[in-house]
Amino acid sequence: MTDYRKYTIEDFLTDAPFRAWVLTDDTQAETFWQHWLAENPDRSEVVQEARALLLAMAEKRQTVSDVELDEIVEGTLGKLNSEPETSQPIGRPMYLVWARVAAAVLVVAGLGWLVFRFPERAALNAVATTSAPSEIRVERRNDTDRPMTVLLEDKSTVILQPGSRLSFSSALENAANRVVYLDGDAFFDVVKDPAHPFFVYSNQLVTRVLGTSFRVVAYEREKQASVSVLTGKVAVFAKKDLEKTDQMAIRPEAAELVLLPNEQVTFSQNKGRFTKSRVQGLADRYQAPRFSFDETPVTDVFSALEKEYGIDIVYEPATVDGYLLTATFSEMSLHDELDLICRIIKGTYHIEDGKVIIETDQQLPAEESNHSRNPTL
Amino acid sequence: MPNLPETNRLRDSQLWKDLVLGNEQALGSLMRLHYRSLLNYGQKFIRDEEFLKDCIQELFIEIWNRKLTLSSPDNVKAYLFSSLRRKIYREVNKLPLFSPHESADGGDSSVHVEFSPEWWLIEEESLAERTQKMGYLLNLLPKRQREVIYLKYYQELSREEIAQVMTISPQTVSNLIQLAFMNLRDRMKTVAISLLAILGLFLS
Repeated sequence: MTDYRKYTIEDFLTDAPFRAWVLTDDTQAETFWQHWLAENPDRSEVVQEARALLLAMAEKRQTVSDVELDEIVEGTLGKLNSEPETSQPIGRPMYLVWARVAAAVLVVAGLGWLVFRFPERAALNAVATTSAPSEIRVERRNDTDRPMTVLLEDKSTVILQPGSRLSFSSALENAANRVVYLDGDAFFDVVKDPAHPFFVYSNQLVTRVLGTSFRVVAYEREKQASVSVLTGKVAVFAKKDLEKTDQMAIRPEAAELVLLPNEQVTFSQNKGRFTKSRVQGLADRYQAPRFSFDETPVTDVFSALEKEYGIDIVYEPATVDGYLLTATFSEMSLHDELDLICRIIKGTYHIEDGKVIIETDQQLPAEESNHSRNPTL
Repeated sequence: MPNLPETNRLRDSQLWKDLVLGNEQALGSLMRLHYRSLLNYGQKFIRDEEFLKDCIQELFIEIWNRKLTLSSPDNVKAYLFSSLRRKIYREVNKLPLFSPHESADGGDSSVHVEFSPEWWLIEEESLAERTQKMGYLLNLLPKRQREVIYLKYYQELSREEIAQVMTISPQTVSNLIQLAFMNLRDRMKTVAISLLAILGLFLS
């Protein structure tokens, strides 16, 4: 048995189990090290320093997925065939240039106003690196006088205020980074997915989160923008600084801000700076609607959700026939509500084109199962 | 327990032999095996990801085109790293933006390893803070110390491999590692104090 108590930072850095814990999602290693730390609290300082040192060098962000890597390798091998064997170093492969032009055209064509609004290279890079060639940009505008719920493919929800618009990729779920663009006022309830950080780009601010709920107010016509947080942790940058974030990330006095629940940051274009404050009432303003169902048929439950959130739920009525729901939904997100209903009807749901699609793989319920099912809440 | 680095080294050498014989898939395998490490290494020097990806691709294409005249490297990984490093230096120095100059560190150009940890993506609050601090400390190190630390502890290259990549002697590698840790230990203490001070200002 290795005596980790005698280990220095250098020893930990070269220890395979330790590296597995820090650099991969190895759950076994996670269990082992959490346990070890609990038993050896006096060594935690050394362990944490070593952990931070490895993480500081890791830079996961720009790594490529397996699919991308396959494409890169195939592209390179394809290049070999067309290239005569010479000992001359070759110039930049032409098709790469074309691919980039094509991508640029796609982005420009797809984004329209966004490119105009976000001319900075950093913003374009962020789009370009997350854009698959086949993706389509989707824009949602709220031209009504009531808040509108927008469902994203990754099951995150956005409450868009009147006069606001949101745009995002139709392939949001598969992108390395989930990126949306906002002009206006919106409340985001983002589904947690640490591997795919969620970005809200707006006129002056970029907000970056893992999974949390927060509000962004950023109208293009206004010189002030704000972000406030209800749950979780959020990082906010001034867009003009985004190019510099690589450097900023490593300076403790950096200009991006990390916000915690009930904190708000306001960015003023004129002053070019952030002001941080406490915020109250966000929870009330964005309180989840409360539902009470008592032996209610699931079809009626769906209708209630559709009406409350202003969304469409698509399902085959026959497959949910006979299910009754007795439950109270409070402080629950739409995602949680749908999840719970799906568990009862033994189905799944996904978001397609802004609609909720319910799928069940089961046959019509038999006669004897035609009674109330009470979920434990 | 199998000696992993040794197994990898043998595997790479075999792939190299195959590619010299004209096996494209061997080149593809080498690329698949080392692409991510090379990308991560390159990112420490340059931020332009597309440019970097082009450099890596060209590196593999050049190997293929010159396979009959290149001598087989003893250590393929170290060879790939040193080739990419040379290539980046060459390419970057072509750009007028970065005029080469000698630095106080005795380095060979303005190109150097720099860390930018994505600390804000780390959920565990205290760990995120520590990682940010560590990135800051690493970047305070003289650049050759920085690169040695990275190659040894992140890329897991041996002393000899690092010597080859950076064209310095193995003894120099050991010295640089020692110096780097002395520096880091010193600074861990002082920065902890100044970070607290900054935090204090921020809150007040």
